[in-house]
Amino acid sequence: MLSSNLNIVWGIGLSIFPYFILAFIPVWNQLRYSKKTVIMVGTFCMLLNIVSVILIIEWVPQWNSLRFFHSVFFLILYIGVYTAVVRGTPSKLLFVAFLVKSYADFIVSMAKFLEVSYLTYGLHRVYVQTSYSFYFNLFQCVILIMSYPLIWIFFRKKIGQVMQTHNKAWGYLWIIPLVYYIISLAFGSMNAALIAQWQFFVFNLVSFFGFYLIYYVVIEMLEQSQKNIILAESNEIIKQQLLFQSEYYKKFGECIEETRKGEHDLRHHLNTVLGLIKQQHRDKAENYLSELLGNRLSISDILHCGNDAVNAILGYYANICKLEGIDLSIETMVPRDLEIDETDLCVVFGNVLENALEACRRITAGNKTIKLSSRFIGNKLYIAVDNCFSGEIRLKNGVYLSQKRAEASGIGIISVRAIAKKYDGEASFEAIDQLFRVTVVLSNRSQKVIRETTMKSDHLGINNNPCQLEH
Amino acid sequence: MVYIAVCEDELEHQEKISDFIKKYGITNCCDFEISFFSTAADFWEQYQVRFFNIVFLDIYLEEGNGIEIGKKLRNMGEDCQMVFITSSRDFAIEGFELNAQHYIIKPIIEEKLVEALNRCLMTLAEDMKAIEIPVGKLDVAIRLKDIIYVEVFNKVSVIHTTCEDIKTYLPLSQLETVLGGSPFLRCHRCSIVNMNFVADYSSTDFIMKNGDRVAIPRSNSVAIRQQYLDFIFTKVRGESGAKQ
Repeated sequence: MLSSNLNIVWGIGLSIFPYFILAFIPVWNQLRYSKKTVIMVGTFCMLLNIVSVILIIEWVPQWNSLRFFHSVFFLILYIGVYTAVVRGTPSKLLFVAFLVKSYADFIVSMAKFLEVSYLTYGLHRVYVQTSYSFYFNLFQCVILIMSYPLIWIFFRKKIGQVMQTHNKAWGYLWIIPLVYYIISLAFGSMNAALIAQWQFFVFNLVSFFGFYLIYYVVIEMLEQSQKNIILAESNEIIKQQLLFQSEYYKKFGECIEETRKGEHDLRHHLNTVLGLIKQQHRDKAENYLSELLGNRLSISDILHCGNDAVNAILGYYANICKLEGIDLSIETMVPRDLEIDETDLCVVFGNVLENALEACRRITAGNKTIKLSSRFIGNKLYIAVDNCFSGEIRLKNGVYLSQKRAEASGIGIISVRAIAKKYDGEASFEAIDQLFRVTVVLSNRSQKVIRETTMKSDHLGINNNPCQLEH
Repeated sequence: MVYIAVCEDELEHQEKISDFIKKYGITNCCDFEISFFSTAADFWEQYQVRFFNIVFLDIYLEEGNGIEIGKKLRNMGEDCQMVFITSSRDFAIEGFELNAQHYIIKPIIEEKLVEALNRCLMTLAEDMKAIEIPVGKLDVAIRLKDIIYVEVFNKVSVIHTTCEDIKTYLPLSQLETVLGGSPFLRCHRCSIVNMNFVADYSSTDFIMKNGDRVAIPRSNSVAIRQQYLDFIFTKVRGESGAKQ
C-alpha cells in the first residue's frame, strides 16, 4: 500500500478539505477579507493540522489518548478562524460550523466502521488500532462521494437562504448540532470491538439522518416565519394603500366640487370685481383676484403621473411633506396600464417614500429634502429616490437595519428587494455623505405588447431632458 | 440659424415673447427666426417637417390645444425642442411625458424664458455634435445622436446609424476615444452601443431600438449592466452628465 505519511496526508486532507468548502458555501458573499486571503488562511490551517498529526505520530506512538485534545484544539481553532474571516452573527456561524463538524464526524464514524468490518470479516485480519490507514481513507472517499452532492445542495439551497433570515431562534439553534457533536465524541473514544458492531452502524446512520431531518424542519420553519413577517408587512401596506385611495378619491371629489362651485360663483365674483373697479378700488380688486386664484384646488396638486394607484400614494406623501415642511420634489413618469401588479407598485413607492420620510423626520437641523424621480424606458420602470438624512445609518452584514426595531433589518427594504426580484429587476440602497440614494428597476412583465408601444414613444422622446415644474 | 415657432393667441404675450427672444439673441449672438401662430390650424398650415428647432406652445389656444399639437408633433417623429407656456399647471404631466424642455407658467418672466432657451440651445448643440470618420478615401460626418451601435467584423468597423450602415477601417479602440464615453458604452471586445438606443437588456445582450441584439460578454456582464444602470439613473434623476 501507500507509505504511512502519505496516507496521513491523504486522510487528513480528506477529513478537512471538503468540510472547509462546505462551511464557506452559505457565507461566500459575506467574507471580511478577500477570497485570496481566506483561501490562504484556510490552506495554512490545513497544513498546520497535517504537520501536527505527523509530528505527534512520530513522537508519541500511543497518541490515541492525545487525539481527543488534538481534535478539540483544532475544532476551536477552525471555529475561531471561521468567525474571524466571515461577517455575521456568531450564533449563526457557530450553527454552520457545528453542522459541518457533525457531518465530518458522521463520515469518520462510518468509515471507521466499514474499515474495521472489512478487515475483520472481509480480509479475516485482526484489527489493530491505526490512524488514517489506507482502507479507512478509501471508505472515507466512497462515503464522501455518495453523500457530498446531497449535502452540497442542502447547504447551497437551504442553509444559504436561511442565513439571510432574522429570528430569535438563531440564538440557540447551534445547540442542536453541538448535541450531535458531543454524542459522537463519546463514540469516538470507543474501542474497535464496539465500533465494529452492526448496532453502531444503525445508530450512526439513523441519528445522522434524524438530526438532518431536524435541521431541515427547523430551516423550513424559519423560512416560513420570514415569509409571514413579509406577508404581515405587506398586509399593513395594503391597508395603508386603501387609506391612500380613499383620501385620494375624497380630494378628487373636492376638486370636482370646487370646479362646480367655481362655475356657480363665477358670476358673483365677476360682479364683485366689476363693482370694485367701478369704485376705483384697484388694489382691492387685485387682492380679491389673487385670493381667488390662490384658493383654487388645482388638479395638478393631486395628479403626479399617469398611474392612479401611484398618484394616490404620492398625493398622500406630498400632503404629509407639505405639513411637516419637507421639500418633496416629484418628477414621475409611470404609465397608466402596467403589467406590474398595482399592489406591488404601491409597496415599492410606499416603502421607499416611508423610509425617506422617516429619515427626514430624524433631521433636526438642515435641509429636509426628498427627490423622487421615475421613468419608463424600454420595458422597464426605473425609480430613484434621494433623501437627506442625519446621523448614522446602521448597517449589519451588508443589510440596512431598521431605525425602529433594534437588530432587525428594515422590512421595507426587504420587501422592495423581494418585489424587484419578482419583476426580474434589482434594488440598491446606498448612503453617501448624508444622502441616501435608492434605485429600483422593475421589468414590465408582459414583454411583447409593452415593447411595441414603448419603442414608439421612446423613439419620439430622443431628447429626454425632464421638463421642470415651477412650484 | 435657429427656427422658432410660437403658438400663442394673445397679442400681448406674443410681443413679450418676441422681445425676450430677440434680446436673448442679441446678448448671446444667436440668429433666431421667429414665426407666430395664433391657432392650431394656422400652425399646421405652415408646418414643414423638421423645420422648426424650438416650438413654444400655449396650451389654451382660441382654437385648438397646445398639448394636442405637441402630441401630434411627437407622433410624427419630430424631435424639436418643446416649451409650454400656459396659465395653469394642469397639464404638467402631459408636458413632462412629451419631453418638454420647460413648462412656463404665466405671467411670463424674462428669467424663465432665458432658462428655457438656454436648455433648448444646449440640447440642440448636443444634437449637432458629430464625428468625422474616414470611409474609403472620404471623410464622412456622422451625428452622434444617430449612431445606434458599432460592431467589428474582420477589422472592419460597422457603424449602424438610424439611416444607414457605415463601414470604416478605423479600429474600434480609436472609435471609442472619438465617441468619447457616455452615452457610448464599450460593452464587448468588438462592439460599442449608444445607451440612448437600448430598448431592453438581458444578462446576455442589449436589445437595441431597431431590434438588433448586441452581445454582452458573460465574464463582464455584471459590470456592464451596472454601467448601463448608472447611465439610466443619472438620466432618471435628471442630473447633468447624462448626455442625450
